[in-house]
Amino acid sequence: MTFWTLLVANTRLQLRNRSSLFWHFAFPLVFMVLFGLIFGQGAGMLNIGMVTDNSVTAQHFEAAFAEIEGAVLIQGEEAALLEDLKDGQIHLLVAFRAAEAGQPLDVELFYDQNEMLASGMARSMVRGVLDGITKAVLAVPELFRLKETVISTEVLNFMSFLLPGVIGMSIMFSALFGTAYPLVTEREKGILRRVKLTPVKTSVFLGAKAVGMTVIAFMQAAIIIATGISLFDVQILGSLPAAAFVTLLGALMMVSLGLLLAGVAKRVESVDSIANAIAMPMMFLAGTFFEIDGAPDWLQSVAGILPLTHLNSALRDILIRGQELADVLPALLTMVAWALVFILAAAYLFKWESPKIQGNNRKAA
Amino acid sequence: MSVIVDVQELTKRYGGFLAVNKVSFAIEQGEIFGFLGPNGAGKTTCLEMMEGLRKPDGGKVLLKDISVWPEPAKVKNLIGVQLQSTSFYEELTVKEILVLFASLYGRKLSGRELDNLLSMAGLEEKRNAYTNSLSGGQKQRLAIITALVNEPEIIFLDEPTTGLDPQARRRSWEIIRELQGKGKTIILTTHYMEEAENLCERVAIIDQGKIVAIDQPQELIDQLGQKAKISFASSRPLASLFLAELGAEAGQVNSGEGQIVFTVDPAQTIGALLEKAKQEGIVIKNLHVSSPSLDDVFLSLTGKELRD
Repeated sequence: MTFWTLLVANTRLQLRNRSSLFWHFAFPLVFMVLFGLIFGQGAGMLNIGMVTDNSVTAQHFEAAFAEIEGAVLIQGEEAALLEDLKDGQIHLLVAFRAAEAGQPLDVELFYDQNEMLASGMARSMVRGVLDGITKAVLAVPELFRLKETVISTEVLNFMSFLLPGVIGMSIMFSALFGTAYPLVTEREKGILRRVKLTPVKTSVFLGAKAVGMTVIAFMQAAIIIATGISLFDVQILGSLPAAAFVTLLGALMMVSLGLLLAGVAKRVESVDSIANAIAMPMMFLAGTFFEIDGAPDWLQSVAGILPLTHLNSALRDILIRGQELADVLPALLTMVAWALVFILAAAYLFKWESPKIQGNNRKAA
Repeated sequence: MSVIVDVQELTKRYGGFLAVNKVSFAIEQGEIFGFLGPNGAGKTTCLEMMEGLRKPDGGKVLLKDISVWPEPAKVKNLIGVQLQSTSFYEELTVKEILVLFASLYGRKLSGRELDNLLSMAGLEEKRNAYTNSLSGGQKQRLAIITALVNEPEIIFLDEPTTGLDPQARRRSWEIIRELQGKGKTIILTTHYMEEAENLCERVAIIDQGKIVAIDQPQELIDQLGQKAKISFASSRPLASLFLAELGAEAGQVNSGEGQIVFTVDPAQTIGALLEKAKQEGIVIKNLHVSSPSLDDVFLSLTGKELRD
């Protein structure tokens, strides 16, 4: 009963606060709509150059691309296509190199780093097609099945790529701010001290906040998916329950990070700067808007361990690549590990009393 | 009447600073007991050690024979607390705050309980108002009734009327007296003499972490042995010798521009004062006679005046 009352009160606090309402629900939608208007429909057809070795794989690649809207495959000689790439005529060059028998095929990608967004979109598209081919070949060797699986990459237009990233990003921002901001405010106002005088268990008090944020994360995911489907023709291939499970895990992980942040931030004002310092770089590094495989190796390694990277990739693999929970198990385990690290650190750092209040009393005592 | 609060040699140190120094006292059930002292005297620290919020460095606190330390959880259902300068969730209504805090004690307020609390605080009309729309007095009264949601036997109120205008202050006193009428024991801190004198049955005057006097307000005043206080301003300072001739028993204190004389026989002293002044050509202005108050007790015990 206590838990339920706390959950209701927390939800009211979130929903009655205009700025938190904006950040939870309007902000992700603004992202979706803006990106959709800029990159979504017809705007910017992607030109992808291809050097073929006439291998079976290259043929499948061609066939798959024929199905994709929003991208054109231009075949030619490598040297000429490289010139086109430098001129900006094409956004990406895919070169299939003949391999010795029994060796995996070499596929080389060339792109212009100045064209981050277009080349990033093109790369995700190509990677999706290649993944699809690999998966199809590994799962069902029969060639006639191949095409069916490859069709799944059809939806990997930019909005489809973007949608899971926007969900991951929204969960991160909402859970970080939505957990840390109220807690630090409650501490500064002395509400936490007052709560400490009651017999309520810490686990119940904080658990209600975590569950409340998870509910908000579900609402965000639902709104973003609905917008993607209705406005931008995004096709959801994966199972929604699986995506919901990833959302739950992601929300709990980000709430834990929010709890840690509430322990680190001494004052309400520092919540903003610390949360932004964490969330902003993570948003870009975690492949929310584009793949970062153009970045230096060390930066990619950093990106590879970030919590949001795993949340985004698990959501993306499930929602638009149609994978299952078992396929994204490494990402899920990494998220659980992060959550545990955050929780333990938060338990160590969390304070019921603001240092300011203690200082005042010391003076007043 | 039985002792419900027993505090023995309670001590708190911050570094080398003794915030509370071996404080001992006992409170009987149904009493309104006040801590009177200036800011920084140790009132709040003392209270918070009794509530289980701040761990003492020495001594004991027994509430209904249960030791608060080392397990404050044992007394949580016994006590209700209004902390100093409490604020609330701004986006919740008065009713929602009460329901929430009751639930933190694992309780569900019935409609009647809720009505009773609201009417006690005069907040019936505000039940669905957000807390940021309340006046200072209404907020303080909400803080007091929030301390009652678990039906506590002992109620701690830390400066329940600080910053309130006299009318709002009296309204809070009514609530506190009503609680006493219900058999509750109330322990409050204040730095208003008037509040201690009018509201508290017994007062502990606390200064620099120590209790310097503890008794009923009237007793403390009577112990001064003075019947009246005469204050005035004079065109020239009066010599102490001169004052002695007035028959004033206690000495003279310069308070700002004026002078204060304590006396057991005000009529005789005033007569002599005016006579002498006429002879010496001294002009006496703003002559004022009053009974001694707790202020004077405080002044004589600590050498300080209480200020807000």
